[in-house]
Amino acid sequence: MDRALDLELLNSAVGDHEYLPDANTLRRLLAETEVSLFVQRGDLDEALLDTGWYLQAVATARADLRIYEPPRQRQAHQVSAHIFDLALQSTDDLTKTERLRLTFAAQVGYLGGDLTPNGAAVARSAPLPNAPFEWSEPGQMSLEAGVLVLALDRAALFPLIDARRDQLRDLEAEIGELDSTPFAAVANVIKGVRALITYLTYGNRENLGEAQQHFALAVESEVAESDVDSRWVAAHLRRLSDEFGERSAWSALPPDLPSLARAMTLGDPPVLSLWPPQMSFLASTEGRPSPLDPEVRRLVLSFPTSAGKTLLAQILIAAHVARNMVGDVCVVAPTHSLCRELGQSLSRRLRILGSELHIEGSVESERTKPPSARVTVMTPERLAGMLRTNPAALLNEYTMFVIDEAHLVTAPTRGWRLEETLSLIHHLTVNTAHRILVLSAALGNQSHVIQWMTAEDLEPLMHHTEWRGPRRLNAVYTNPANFEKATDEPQRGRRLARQHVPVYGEIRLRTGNRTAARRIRKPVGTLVRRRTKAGAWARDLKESTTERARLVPLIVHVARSGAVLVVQPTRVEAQRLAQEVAVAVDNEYSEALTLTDLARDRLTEAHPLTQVVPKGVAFHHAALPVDIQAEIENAVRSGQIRILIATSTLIEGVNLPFKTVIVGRRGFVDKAGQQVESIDPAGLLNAVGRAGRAGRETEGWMILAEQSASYSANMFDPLQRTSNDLDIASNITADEALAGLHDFEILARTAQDAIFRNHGAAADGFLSFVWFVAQALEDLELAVSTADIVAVIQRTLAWQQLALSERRRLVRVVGAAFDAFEAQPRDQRERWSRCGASLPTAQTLDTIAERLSIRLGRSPAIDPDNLSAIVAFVLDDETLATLLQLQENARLGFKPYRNAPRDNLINVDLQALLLDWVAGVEIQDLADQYLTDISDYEYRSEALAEFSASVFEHHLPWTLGVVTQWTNVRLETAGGDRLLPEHLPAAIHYGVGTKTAIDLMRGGIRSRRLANAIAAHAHGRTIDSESPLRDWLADQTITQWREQFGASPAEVADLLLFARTPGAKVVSSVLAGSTHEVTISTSGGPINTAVAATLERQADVPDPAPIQVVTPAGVIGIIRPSDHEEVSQLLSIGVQLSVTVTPSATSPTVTISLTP
Amino acid sequence: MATSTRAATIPTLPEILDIKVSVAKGWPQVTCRLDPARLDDAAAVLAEGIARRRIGSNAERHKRWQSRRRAPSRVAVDARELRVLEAGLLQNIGTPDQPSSSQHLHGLIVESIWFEIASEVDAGLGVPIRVEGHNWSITDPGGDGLTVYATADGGFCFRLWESKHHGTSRKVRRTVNQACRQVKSNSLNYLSRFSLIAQQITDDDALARFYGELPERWVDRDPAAGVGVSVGTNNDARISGCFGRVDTYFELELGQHQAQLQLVSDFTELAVRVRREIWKGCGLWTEP
Repeated sequence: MDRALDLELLNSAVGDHEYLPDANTLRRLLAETEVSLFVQRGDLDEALLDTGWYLQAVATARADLRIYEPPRQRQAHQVSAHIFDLALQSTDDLTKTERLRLTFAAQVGYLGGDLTPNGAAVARSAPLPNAPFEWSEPGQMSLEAGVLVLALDRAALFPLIDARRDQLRDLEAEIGELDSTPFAAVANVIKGVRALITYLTYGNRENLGEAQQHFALAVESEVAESDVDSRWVAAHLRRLSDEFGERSAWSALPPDLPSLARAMTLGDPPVLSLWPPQMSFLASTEGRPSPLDPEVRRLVLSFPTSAGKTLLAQILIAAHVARNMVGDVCVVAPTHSLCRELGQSLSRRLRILGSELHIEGSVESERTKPPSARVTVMTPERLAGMLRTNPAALLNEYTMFVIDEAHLVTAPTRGWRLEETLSLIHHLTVNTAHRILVLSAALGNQSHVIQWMTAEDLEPLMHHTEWRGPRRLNAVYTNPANFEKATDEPQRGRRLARQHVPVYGEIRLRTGNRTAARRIRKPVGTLVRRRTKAGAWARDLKESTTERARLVPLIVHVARSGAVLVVQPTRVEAQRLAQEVAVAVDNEYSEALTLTDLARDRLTEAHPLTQVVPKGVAFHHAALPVDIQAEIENAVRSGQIRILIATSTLIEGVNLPFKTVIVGRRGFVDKAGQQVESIDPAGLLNAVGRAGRAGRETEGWMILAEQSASYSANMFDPLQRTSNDLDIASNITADEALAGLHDFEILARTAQDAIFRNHGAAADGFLSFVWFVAQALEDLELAVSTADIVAVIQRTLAWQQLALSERRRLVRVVGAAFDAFEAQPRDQRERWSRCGASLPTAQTLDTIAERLSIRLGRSPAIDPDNLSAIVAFVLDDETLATLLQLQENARLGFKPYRNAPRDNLINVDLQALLLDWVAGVEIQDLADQYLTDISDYEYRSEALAEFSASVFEHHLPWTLGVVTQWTNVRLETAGGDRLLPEHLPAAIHYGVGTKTAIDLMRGGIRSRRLANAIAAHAHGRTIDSESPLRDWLADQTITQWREQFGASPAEVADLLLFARTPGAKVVSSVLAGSTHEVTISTSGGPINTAVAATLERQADVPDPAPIQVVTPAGVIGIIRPSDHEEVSQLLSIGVQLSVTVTPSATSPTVTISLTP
Repeated sequence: MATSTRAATIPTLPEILDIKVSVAKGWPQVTCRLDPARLDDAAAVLAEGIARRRIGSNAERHKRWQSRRRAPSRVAVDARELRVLEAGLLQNIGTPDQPSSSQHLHGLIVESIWFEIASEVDAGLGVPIRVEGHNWSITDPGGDGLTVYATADGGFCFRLWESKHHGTSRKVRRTVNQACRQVKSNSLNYLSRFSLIAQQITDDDALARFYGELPERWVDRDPAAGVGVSVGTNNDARISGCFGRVDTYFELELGQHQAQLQLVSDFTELAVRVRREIWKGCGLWTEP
């Protein structure tokens, strides 16, 4: 149950009054209002609103008068905010002023109740200010300013406040000093709000004092006594300004690091006020140093989704950079999508510090990290690869490691890789200044994690919170049948008699031990029963409404109040449900036009996605092309998609905002008749976390669809879990892993090559790690013995979690594996231990490399620019087949239909398919060309997308990278000069066939189509490295990109990041108070005189829109793509800029600086 | 909380009205009648009162207004002064070109009469030490004023008032009952907002504490809490038993109620004359 409906909270807040609802009644009223709102807009019970106002009075009573105790005041704030929030949602006929009042009142409650992000969320639906302002209602002006300042919406606030300030100045010029007029209160509110937001932005405490003074003048103004709203707003802001002062980044962050506070307050998004758990984490208390203290070398943070964990990580990272510590920061996130998301938001903050961020590609051989980058984001696999390649270099380059979503160590296939990497880094840095920050939303067994990160004199700083901004309401959706309304169908001929029973959609919201239930008015389907010959009723599955169809009315309904995510167990289910929902949605969704065009272009008119997107509906699963997945994610973020039906891979992969999350069936029955869980408890917790994103919504609904049974209270059980209930367990503690290690131990007694046989993925991973540890200790010129390796193994999570007998087994296994290591020739064991594969696979790859080097020595020269020819030569049929057979590869080929057995594969020319993939042929075309034996059209493209994601994008580039490296070493040793190009694996990984296209993909372009289109246009130009390519693109405009390359909004965004001048300092220098000069592209003739200008995003074109330079004479030019990102960031920050156009006949510029 | 700069020549409203206080039902009901012959006197007093409360804190401006109103002929006012007066004094009154609705004007007059009477007439609790909130927006629901009284034990008590104009041929009781419902449904909104502001502008900590406790005392129906209803109408309105049901709305003891009935021969005429006086002070006098 959510804390907002917690009886104890309600009781403490409201107390016991004969004329107010008691806590039980209040909870019932709140729950009923929530459910009513959910199924239909309903009126708010008057008693609730009375309680809200009473509670606000309790909460805001002067603290020095000690009428109420502070804890009760905080609780009263929380409950009052909830009530006002519901009042806003449930009442349609409020005037603008009434709506603003309730919004402001709710914000006051959320802020005072330590639910800061809800203050911003509730303001999102407030009526937006109109300019110019009508003087007849000065209170409305104050309310607007109050709402925006409590939302901490600087970007909206500064322009509004300045427009109002200008109006007030005009008025003052007309009627004289406003302080002696009825406008005194509003004038002081506006001045106070401006001073407050200026303090929060720039940290000058004089501004805070000024704000408080203005608010006091407004409240006390006798001449403006009738302007009650202005005085009410001022009274609240006067009270809150002290709290703002304490929670501001300027107060909470170390005063010796002003640039860090600036990175927070001027970053994007701005952090003007920290959230309660962030404040308590950052504070140093007696006996506990601040986590920002470099002496704190191990940190474990367990925060649920939406509690501000990412921001804390950003603060720690930015502090490292701001302090100019030796060494860079390495940030690890589970997926490329998350790396990108995390990297983009962090890089905008780092720019303020004049620093860069680099997102590490996934292909081993490439490294394009610019020298100015102080932070690198990468996947665990990439970190593992770098550690294996050169541990000393890695530890020299990075002195801080931030591991996000650390519960990944539990993941069956990838967990051990992260655990071994982190354990070794931990071991090697126990006595150095390196810092490790472990972050997770789900660390149940925190003591294990703490023990894991503990060493002799090293004790990690642990911080855990269950705090969450948005309320979370848990509900269960069932489909009760009403047999009383059944209609009978008599037997007709051979058709047996049937009964048609209406089935309803029922939502139950849990509050304590009770539930509040509401039904969707109309039936959501029919249960058809057939009378058997024996006279009993049997369910007629064919004629009854399917579960999926019964879910549709619920989805359509909840989508009216905000974006909804529906998690389905399989791709097919997700796709079909999306199709049914799209049919049920009445109107086309104009916002989805861009995505509709894109789907039509990329996937054809007939593709199921193209069919559903016009209704604002989409499905998302791993079998869709990666760039299409990215476009869908982008469309959800920008509101183009209101209903997304996805498999659980989405919730593991990216952070997307939804008001409601519906989890449909949580499993399916496989071919063997076994129930397969499609979403595990951690996945469910993750899904729950997606409902209601902090700062966007004040509440999120999590609905479990339990459609195949009658309601029972235990249906809520899966939703009661918290992160504390989810333990993380090392892969090595699994029975299968221990059995594999046992097998190895037995076999090693008799067989010398036991280490080169497969013992299961987990055991093989452990053995490979033992070899690597031995190699790493050698590399670092440290002692190497079984005991030394065991000392590293003792740093693993597995060691903390295993029983004594199993620990002893690990020690024996280490001994046997180390013996095998020592028995191998030095160069061979070095290669094999570094490559990251299991040792049997390493042995196979070595054989391939040897054979390839011989073949290359004998073959005629191949054009080094003809990547397709090189791929064809290197991956001949035999080599390709060998690589595909390796145990690390999950897919050998294509099944004829979805449920076919694993070994039933159709005949496909895999090499030809690979070559066309490298040539850039689109997925859909590849599917149509090569998979004609798959008759199901939808499955055809799904099968190909799945295969390419697994084999082309991961397995082949990784193994080929190893083979290429080893082959080149052999060729070099033999004195050969015809080496394999290092970017060969990248060509396969990205599915592009030219160096230009590879450079683009490495530089962050996600669309193969776009990379190939640009490469085709660039062909013949002297573009042979990334920089001229960037310059060539930067010489064009966004409009030209759209026209020439058919670039979609997401593609333009990628291109803008690519075209950005590396190391550009526009943001950092302007925000540090300097003037920065930026070259512009002009549309007309030469500019002869300096003129003041403004920078505005071009209207009527999709985002990202060109930024225009506007002078009184009109638009005179646009910001070049190379500076677009930085200037765009400056505009988004919402500070006021002074812009002047500098005359020039050839290359005019604008100078940008902060308006004083 | 306006300061008083009443001119010595102007009588008070209680001096003009015929006022009777009865406690027939166990709680005080004040009835005030205006002799038609004194309509102009009352209009002048009310106009002066409104101006005093709305612009009295700016002594110079208030003085200028008074001298224009009392002048025998029209005195012009500059555009700047008029703009200020429009924004403050003329709220809910309007200008000759754009007069406010009669509903707003009548509401203002009822509230003004209530203020003058409530401030000076002892209806059983003594004369209030504070009459607050009288100048809050006339269109805001949930209470039009608050009277605060000192009690014998050194504490305070309050009455939350709602004022309404009755201008139809129906029974006055309907308007009174409507006022009761309105107070009942919006009282906490009013008290909460009022409480916050009042606590911040009061130097007296004991009084500030009392203001901070207003909503608490209201929901507990504390003996210090109470309600009042005032209604203004014409002499010939159907006033019989108009406050008969007031004590059934709030679950308060009888002594926690108050009422005020304002009877004027022609209420609309009084309102028009008050407005004319105010306009005159603003240089907007349109008659010779």
